[in-house]
Amino acid sequence: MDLTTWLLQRISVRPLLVSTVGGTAARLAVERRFRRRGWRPALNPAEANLLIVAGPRDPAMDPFVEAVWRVVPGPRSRADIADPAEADARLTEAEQQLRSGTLPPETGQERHEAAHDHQPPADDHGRHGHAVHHGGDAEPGREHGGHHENAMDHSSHQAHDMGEGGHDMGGMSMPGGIAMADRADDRDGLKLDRLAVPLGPVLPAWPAGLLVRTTLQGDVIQDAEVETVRGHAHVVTPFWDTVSLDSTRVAARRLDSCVRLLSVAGWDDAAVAAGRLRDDLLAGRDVDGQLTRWARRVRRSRTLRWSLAGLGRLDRGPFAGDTADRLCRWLDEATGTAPAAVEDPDEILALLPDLLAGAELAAARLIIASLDPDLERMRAAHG
Amino acid sequence: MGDELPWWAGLLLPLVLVALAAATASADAVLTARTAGAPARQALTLPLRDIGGLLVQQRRRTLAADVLLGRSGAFALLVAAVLASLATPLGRWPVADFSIGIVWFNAMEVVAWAAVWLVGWGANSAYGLVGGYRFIAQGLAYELPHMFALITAALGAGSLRVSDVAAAQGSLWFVVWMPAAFVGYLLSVPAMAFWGPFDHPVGADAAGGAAAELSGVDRLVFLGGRWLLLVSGAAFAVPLFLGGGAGPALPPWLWSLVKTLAVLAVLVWLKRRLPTVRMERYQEIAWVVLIPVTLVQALIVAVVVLVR
Repeated sequence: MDLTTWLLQRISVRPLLVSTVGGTAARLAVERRFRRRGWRPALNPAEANLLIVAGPRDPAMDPFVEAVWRVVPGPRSRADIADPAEADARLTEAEQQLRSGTLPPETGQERHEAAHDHQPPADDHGRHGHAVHHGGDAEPGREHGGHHENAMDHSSHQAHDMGEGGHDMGGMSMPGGIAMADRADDRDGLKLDRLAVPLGPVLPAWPAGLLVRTTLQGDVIQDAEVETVRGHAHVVTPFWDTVSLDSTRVAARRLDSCVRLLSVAGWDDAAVAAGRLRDDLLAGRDVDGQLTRWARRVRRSRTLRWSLAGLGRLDRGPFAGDTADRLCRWLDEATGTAPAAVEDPDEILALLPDLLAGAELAAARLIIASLDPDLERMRAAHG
Repeated sequence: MGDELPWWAGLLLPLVLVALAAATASADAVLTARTAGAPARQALTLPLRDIGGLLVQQRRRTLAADVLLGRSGAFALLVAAVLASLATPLGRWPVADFSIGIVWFNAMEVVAWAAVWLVGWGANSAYGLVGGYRFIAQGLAYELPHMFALITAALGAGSLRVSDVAAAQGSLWFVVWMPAAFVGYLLSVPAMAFWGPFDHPVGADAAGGAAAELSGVDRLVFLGGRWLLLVSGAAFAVPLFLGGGAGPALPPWLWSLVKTLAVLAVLVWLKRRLPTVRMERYQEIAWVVLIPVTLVQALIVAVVVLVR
């Protein structure tokens, strides 16, 4: 047995989890196995050796998933898990394939090259516009920035996308075929590069199916457009509606949101604990005492409140307050001390462009996590 | 003065640092496994299996990446992290007993500024770039309190030689009469290693930040450098504030190790207890609270040294 074979039997598994709209049940099943098996999720494709797609196959997600799969370095393995009941078997199978070292044929010589980000060539709506549709009734993004700016920016958009395939843009001086970024004044009046950076739909602790196209200067978002990535074909029954017991549903749903918010806030210990509580609740275990203790711990963290305060402030509506207030409300709902608020993802998507414009990347991630739109609930009329 | 070791002792230094880093990573992984309800025995070997995974993983490149720049950044981090411990005595034995050992440590630690930025920039990736710049901002926050803490300890001993500083604490450890300097130093250790609550440069919100595009050996070198820098920083606190190898019963080298592990344990505890501290918020505390406090601490120590 050579050294590589020996090592392959022992390496740690680093799964990158992608979930599609309608895949909440599968995602929860998969996340529970990750936790129980001691697999620490990867933050990016470079770190991953396992790609897990949880949820029903969605043609709108396919280009994104394929683009990510192309940049996962070998040895690697992949599992598409649509049915939560299959999760265990499929994960074991994928792990065995990873450890066996039988790489899928295209990995051998291929040089893994990614463009500026982990995103597929999904910029021009023409190519798969049928699958990617704008979210938010108001066509957000038009209000600020103006469309001429977006048009101007298009060259850099395309350049990033073309980069993936290594096309030559014709310019001799363009490194790797990427056009230079445009420049414009930032909020402080400095001339800075404008980078077109899509956030999602493959990103850790990110709502399934959400895609926010941002224009970044430095790490400040100048402009954000919100889209959803989900196919027309299937009408989804929101997973959380299928959880029968009211108190369990609310608490588990809120814990699930807290897992994402706490992960983005960089508090892994509390996030992992929340994930465990969520899974135990859904499995019908009694965790009241632990839940109360956990909620008290999170609520009492002055550092967390200080870190979240003032971000994404809204004056009225169901999401009034800042990110810290919204977390507190979730904790109240999870512990049963406050009634559950009604969730309307369409409303959240309509709010996002205004909230994100002018926010730093870190703040934007926290704001989105604190609203946590569940796209399974979107009204069908969209698109 | 410490007893300087023969040159080959320098070869043992990386091994000691790696062993300490592995112990810390294992402890952290076991605690995470306990929270998660995962098997603890498996978590014990997780750091080693992570290394194995990176050894067999393909290196991948991003389009139009500055490969030389990025790799030299990661390599510089690793080398500087080991060299930072050159003047740190294990018990009575430093590898190199520089007369300016404290300045040496500071110079090595500051290499991280360039290294992380180079790695982030070199990948030609938006997330990498954001992570790289986050570390520059972090440096602006932690570096001055860190330097004032170093100066305070040197002032108390009247020497920049690390073994002199350790020897000057015969009757009273510096942590007792310069607590503010010790706290300032302790906070700067995870900050310089972008670890624990100061891990924003490689944060989950930016898909791994400066490390977002690293795989295989490149990732191993970068993350290894980060771990060794953390250990080097923790180990340096021992001669600086915790009396070096002094202690009853056990031999000095063992005391050095025990104290280093204790500092690392505090850092692990801090990491697990706190969410990521963003520089956008921390900068204010660093400049408005930490810098004045460490300065006043230096002043007090200076006055005591003059009067004594």
